[in-house]
Amino acid sequence: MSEQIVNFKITNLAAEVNESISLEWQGKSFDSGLLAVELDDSAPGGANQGVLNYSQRRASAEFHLRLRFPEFASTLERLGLDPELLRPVSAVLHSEGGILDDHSFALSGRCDLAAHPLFRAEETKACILPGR
Amino acid sequence: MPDVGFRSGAEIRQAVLEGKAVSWRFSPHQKRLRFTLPKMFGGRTYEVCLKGGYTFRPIVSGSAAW
Repeated sequence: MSEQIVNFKITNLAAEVNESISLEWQGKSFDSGLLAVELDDSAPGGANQGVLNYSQRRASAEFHLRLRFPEFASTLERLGLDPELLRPVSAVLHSEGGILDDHSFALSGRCDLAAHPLFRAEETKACILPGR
Repeated sequence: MPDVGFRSGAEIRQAVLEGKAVSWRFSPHQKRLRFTLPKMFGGRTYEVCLKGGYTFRPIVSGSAAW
């Protein structure tokens, strides 16, 4: 392995959003509850990988993710929605950014969302903003 | 930000070069995720914080990853 270019596998990602998100459904407003973001372990073998380029101090990574609103899904299920409609949203985050002095990353990038019956990719957008 | 257990960026880079897995945490107070809901759920756009982290494990052998 070159000391300037390091390929890596993303072996875990677990994150959640606890802030209130208002979702409207059939004229009513619901608090989404938790938004959970997880690594999609069922992604193909070449997925969930990235590169550290130390000579350019740049990193890039492609995260295959699943996004879930478990509490909102439970609410909709109680209202009689087909569970198939409530499956997690699959997304691929294409991220890149600088490698900082403390070896954190300033990664940002867009998410490509897979087809989903409720969270239609033409209307649902997601991205990771610059930060660390 | 790097997870606990490392004191400096150089120490983390050394660990990476040795093929060790390293974890990072999202800064919990930075609005890192922006998403727009579909119209059927109101169509609003939110910017929210992520709490959690991720782990990279260097690929020691083989060709370029992607």
